[in-house]
Amino acid sequence: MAQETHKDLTRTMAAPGEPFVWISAMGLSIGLLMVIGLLGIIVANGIPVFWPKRVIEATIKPGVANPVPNSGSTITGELVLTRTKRIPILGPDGSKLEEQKEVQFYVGNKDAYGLNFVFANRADIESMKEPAEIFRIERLEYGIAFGYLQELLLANGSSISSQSPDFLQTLSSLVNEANERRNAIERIEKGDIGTINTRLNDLRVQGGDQKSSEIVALNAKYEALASKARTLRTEQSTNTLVFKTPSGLERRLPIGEIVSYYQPNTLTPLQQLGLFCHNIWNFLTEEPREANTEGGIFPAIFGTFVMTLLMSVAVVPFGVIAAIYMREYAKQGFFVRSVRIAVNNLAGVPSIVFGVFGLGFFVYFVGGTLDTLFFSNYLPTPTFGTGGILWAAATLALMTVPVVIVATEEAMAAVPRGMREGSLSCGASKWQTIRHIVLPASLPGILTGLILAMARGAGEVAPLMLVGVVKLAPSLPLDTEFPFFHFERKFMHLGFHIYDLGFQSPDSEAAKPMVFATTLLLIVLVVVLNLSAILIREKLRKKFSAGAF
Amino acid sequence: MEPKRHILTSFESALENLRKDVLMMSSLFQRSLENARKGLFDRDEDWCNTVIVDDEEIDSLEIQVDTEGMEIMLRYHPVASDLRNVISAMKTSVNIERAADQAVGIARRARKLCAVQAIPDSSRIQPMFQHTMAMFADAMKAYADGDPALSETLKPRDKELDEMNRNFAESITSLMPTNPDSIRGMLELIFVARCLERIGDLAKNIAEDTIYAVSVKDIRHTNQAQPR
Amino acid sequence: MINNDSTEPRPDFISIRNFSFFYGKKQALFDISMDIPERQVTAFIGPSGCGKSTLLRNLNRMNDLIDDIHHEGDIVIHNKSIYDPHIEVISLRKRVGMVFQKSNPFPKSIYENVVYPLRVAGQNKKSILDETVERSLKGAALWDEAKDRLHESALSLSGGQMQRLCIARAIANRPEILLMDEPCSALDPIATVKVEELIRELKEEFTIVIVTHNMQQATRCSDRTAFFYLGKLIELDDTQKLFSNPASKQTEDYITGRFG
Repeated sequence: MAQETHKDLTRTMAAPGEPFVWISAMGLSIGLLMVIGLLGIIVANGIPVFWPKRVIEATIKPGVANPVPNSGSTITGELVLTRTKRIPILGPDGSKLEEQKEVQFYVGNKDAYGLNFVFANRADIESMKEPAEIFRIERLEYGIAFGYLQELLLANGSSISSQSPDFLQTLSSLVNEANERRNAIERIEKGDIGTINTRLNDLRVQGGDQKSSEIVALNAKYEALASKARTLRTEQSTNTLVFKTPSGLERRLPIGEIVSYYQPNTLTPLQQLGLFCHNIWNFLTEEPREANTEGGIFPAIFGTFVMTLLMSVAVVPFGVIAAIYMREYAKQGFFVRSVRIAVNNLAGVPSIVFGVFGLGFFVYFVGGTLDTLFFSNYLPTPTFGTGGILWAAATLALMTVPVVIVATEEAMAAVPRGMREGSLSCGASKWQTIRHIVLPASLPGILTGLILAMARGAGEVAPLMLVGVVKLAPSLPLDTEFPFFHFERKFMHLGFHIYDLGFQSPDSEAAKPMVFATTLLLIVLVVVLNLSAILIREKLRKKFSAGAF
Repeated sequence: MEPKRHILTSFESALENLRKDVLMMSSLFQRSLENARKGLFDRDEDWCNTVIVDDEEIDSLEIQVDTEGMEIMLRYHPVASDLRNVISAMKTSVNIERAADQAVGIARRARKLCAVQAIPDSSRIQPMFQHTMAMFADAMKAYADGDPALSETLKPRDKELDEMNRNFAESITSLMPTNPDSIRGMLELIFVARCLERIGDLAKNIAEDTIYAVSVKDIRHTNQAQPR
Repeated sequence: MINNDSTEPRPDFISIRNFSFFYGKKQALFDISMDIPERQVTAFIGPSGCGKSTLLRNLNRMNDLIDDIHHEGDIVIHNKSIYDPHIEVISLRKRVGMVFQKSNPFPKSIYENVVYPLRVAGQNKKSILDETVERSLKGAALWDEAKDRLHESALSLSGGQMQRLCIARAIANRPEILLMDEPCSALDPIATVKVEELIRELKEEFTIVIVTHNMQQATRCSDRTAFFYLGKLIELDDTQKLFSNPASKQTEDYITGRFG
């Protein structure tokens, strides 16, 4: 009898719990699947951008129009997309849906064809082959070119045909030289001449005498450097590469215009892997070209990173101090409660509103005041009275400060009362207790707040558009030029870059791969920032194992 | 006013059982003393034997009171009046057991006297019996009621009993030369009187313990009731 | 604050004079008057809510942390009122240390826990700190167990060790008075008797006031005992006398467990 009752008990008490365990597991799985799915789509679309593809020469069936102008009956390019489309075809018995396969090629040679991507029906294609001789050339202007190399025209008038054995070697050394020269030109123009220009600007603004010895000396230096740069530039165009497009057009390309080149159809898998890594590296470290569709996005990465750091540096002290005051020192009455409610509501305000506020307050008011006070010489060119990385960081800090305040308050409230009492009974003042006992124990919670703030701030784009983000920034906010931190400069941002690429570029098809790659990079950047904060928090948690945060 | 009970009912009932056992011992003793008296004056051997047999029960009750007392102290850590009550119960049980031994002594001697002829003037011992029995009854009443005033009367009464004992011994001794055959019997009577006198002392001790338990006045070894 | 007095211990070292205490409108202590003698252990006993902890926490003004409290009467330590406006609460708490019911070591090393009172007072000289750590840990009977682990986290100690660490921390600054609020209630029996032995040793240097629910502890440890009920002081006497023959019937009813 007792056993039966016992079994009854377990049946009635255990059974209702089971479905809920399954439901919550299911919910978690759905969430995980969505995250993995999202990441999967981004990776699937983004990674292939970097993988070196084979170049295909497709011959069109006679009678079908070639979507590529001036190309005869071939389409030469990288196969980027295969899809099926449904065409309603009028049959004898009314309309009938037919499925057709369509392929998209990236044909490059924008200067010759006027376009980069073409679609063609798979059925219209007679044959496809991979010509081994075709080269893929990355240029400074007009993007990628596919072509068959003909000959090298050297400065001294001689030429080396592509058939000769030292053609490739000469080409390689010439291109390396050209790349180094380009770097030198950039150093001179951006670095040295830039410094001289800034100095001259400062002197001019200070109302200096045009004939003072310093200005004369600087001008002389400027002339010397400028002429050196000019010389180098001319040298870039002394050698020329002659090649034929797949449609037979002959084109001449100064060596200085070549960034890199390779034969896509002769690569071994290992070489492909090497090139893959090389492409990723370039993506991460180079500056953008061709309206942000070519080149790398290093300035955007740097800008996002610096801005997020600045935002964190601004928001943590401000938020923590506000939370300490509200929780510990302020008399808990109506006023403090309403401030707390206001702060909590601030977290729900749409971010564009913060952008407008940042524009009006930080940029025009504070920036304008700073300009009139300290930089009046430069007016009417605004220094701080316009958007910049400082105001962007300040705006985002304002937007995310409620999160930090709430997290800090909760973490401080979670510090056990006994610990506070213990400290006070040792003869510590309230501030000493906060500084030595409460704050260190709340650090994990504060870091949680910081993580949440960074997650929100790094992802916001709308307010940034008003307070300092640009499509293309001439220089980085941190560089080797004194005073090293240029907080008034505009900057590039990954989120804005994605928006700009996707919706504001002249050739959105060309930009699509970059969009995905940039999205992937933004996710990786946020994950890295969050992971480091989480790791720091774990270390701190082990140290102060009190509290639930 | 109803005295408050202990919140721990097991404590309350343990104290109650201890008290009951002590009171049971005293009533058993009083019955034994009465039986001994009957055996002496009615010259009935059966009563004497009853006293001797019943002594076993009193002895085992003494052990039980001791055990119960120790257990209460171990378990409940009594303080204040509870502690004094437990200790006085244990001491009182010792005194009652000794008094019961005296009653057994009386019974044995009475049995011997039954074998010989009647002693003249043996009724002279009767008042001593009455006095002793009254003393003991009052001592136990004072214990049961926690009455220090009643307890204080025991000391002078014990002096009286001592006096009675001396007088009886003298008067019996004076009869000895005229009744030489009864000398052995008279000696037994003198011993009986001595036993009664000792019972009176024990009753006085019980009264002194009661006074301490109730009012923390320790009047032992003093000539008059004085607070320590 | 070293108590160098080798003179007669003062019987009125802590003098509580007509002290009443209010939480808002609710009165918690009613006109308490008592003297606590120097270098003795005084125990406060009484049922829950009788005010003994409240009175204890007033001795070092820990109740100041609560909003909306006020008091009447006075508490005088060593001839100075603790409510004197010229006295800083912080300096009072340096002279009157406290050990709590639930041990509350800081999440720092053992060394840092013990020297915390010195550091907040501005003392950072290493030689003095080292000497304090050794003296306090020895005084708290924790030196042998802790001397090889001084820089490990205090949270790695056992419950009884943590409480002894809190005692070491409380005596580090050599306060004159040590307040203990049910210090053993969270400890196992062996740790409890170790702390009780410690109290016996400490009373030679410090005046100790201990609140306890455990009457056997009061009888074992204390020299004088005060019984409180509903915010009033019912009886104050030598421990021996109060537990064997209390003067008040209420006291007797409480200590014998007859309480109604």
